[in-house]
Amino acid sequence: MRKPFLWAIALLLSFGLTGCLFSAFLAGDSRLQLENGSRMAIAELEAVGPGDTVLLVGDTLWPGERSRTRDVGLDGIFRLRLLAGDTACFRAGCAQAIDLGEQELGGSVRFRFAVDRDGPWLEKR
Amino acid sequence: MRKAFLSALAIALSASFAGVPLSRAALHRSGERLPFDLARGVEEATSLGQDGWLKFSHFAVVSPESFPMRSPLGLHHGWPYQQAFLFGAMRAFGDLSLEETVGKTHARTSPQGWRAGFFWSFERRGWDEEDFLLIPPEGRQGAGFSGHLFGALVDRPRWGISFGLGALSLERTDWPENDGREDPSRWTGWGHAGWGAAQGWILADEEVRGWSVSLDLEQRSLEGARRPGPMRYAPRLRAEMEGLDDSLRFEWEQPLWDSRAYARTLWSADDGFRWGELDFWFDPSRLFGVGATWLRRDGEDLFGGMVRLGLVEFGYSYAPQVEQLGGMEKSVYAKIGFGITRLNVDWYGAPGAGGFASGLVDKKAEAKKHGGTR
Repeated sequence: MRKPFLWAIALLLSFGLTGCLFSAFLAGDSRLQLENGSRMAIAELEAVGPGDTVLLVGDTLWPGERSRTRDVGLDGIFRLRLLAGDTACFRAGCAQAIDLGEQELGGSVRFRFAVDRDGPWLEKR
Repeated sequence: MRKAFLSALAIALSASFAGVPLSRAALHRSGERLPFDLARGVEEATSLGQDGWLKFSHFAVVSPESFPMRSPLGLHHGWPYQQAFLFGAMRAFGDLSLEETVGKTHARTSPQGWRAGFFWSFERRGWDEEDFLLIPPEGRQGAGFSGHLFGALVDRPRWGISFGLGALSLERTDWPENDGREDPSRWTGWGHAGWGAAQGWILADEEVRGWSVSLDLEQRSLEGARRPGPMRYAPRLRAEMEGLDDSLRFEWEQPLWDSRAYARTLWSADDGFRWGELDFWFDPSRLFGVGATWLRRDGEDLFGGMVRLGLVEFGYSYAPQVEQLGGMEKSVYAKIGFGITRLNVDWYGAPGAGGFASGLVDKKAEAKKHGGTR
């Protein structure tokens, strides 16, 4: 066997088997973890589009808790929303949906939900 | 001063990389257009009576942020793809002797008798969450189509006649939701006939999906035009019907100067002017060139262009590309392509992911062959 032939096969395999070129170092999987940095209880982090809704993290998080890491399979910019209420209110069922604005997902992200005097917001970690 | 220039350049670059988001509807339309682009590509490859041809091209995005896709959920990061290859060969049978015809304006070698051959043309286009070279990833949000067109050809170059019969398969590679439309995956028959400058193809299954008739009057140096004659400035005309919108379309390619400058325009019977293009090629083989296009759709004007540097072509809102892969606009892309064709005895470069096939005769070899009269 000639050397150029082997090189060509090695090149083809290395390109073909990875299945992704740029993605190997730019983005990979799309994993998400949510941390509750507020004094409220939060639940049901969702991506909400103009015509579709996907539940990203279904865990209910008490203050200070972190969710399990989820492979959400979304890479892009999405409008996020979650349910929040103070701990007593949450049990009573008066939690309200909070719009978190457009956030960028992709790769491994940890979001920390916090509330300050400007209102609720997501901190990307 | 330099800082200002650099920041202006940075702003211009970031503006030219941030494209308009693609939509699934636009991708679906470009998938439905794929069969006609395949048939057109085969006609361009075979129209000059070559012996063999080999082409491939790969669409590459310059910046990963260029072409996001808008879905009902939001804006997805990802990569459009368009990959194609075409190969085939013709072989003479029966009378194998070659005939040299040397006229005042023409010199070419062609076989006396009949030839038979085959071709296989493949293209896949679409969008996926990851980019790839050979094996498509199974992205959950991907959308794509792949098409194969293969067939047999019989021709007799001396008489200028050719016939072809083949089949086309169109397949949706993913995207099971399909936005409520009918599944476009299907098998279609392909037929071709040519006589002299006139050529035609038809795509049909239970019904006629599309057809095209073209009249190629231009005399190119590839075909062995020895001296500039008036027929070098004859146009190439095409009338075609794509079953998509049942609109008759007319294409006109007009040589402007010495096999180098061309004007192309496409008109639709329903919508009027679709797009126009001005091309300048630094050599008739179309390895290096620049082009500017003007696309009009829904009352909006889209200006674009391309620069071809050998095997790589850079484009920005280039009208033929916007027509092929809907949404490839307002951002820079690159197309890597290679093409070679054999006409009787000589090999030529035959790039031309866009544009009609063309090539350049090796003038020295040609002069030697015909006794140095040039």
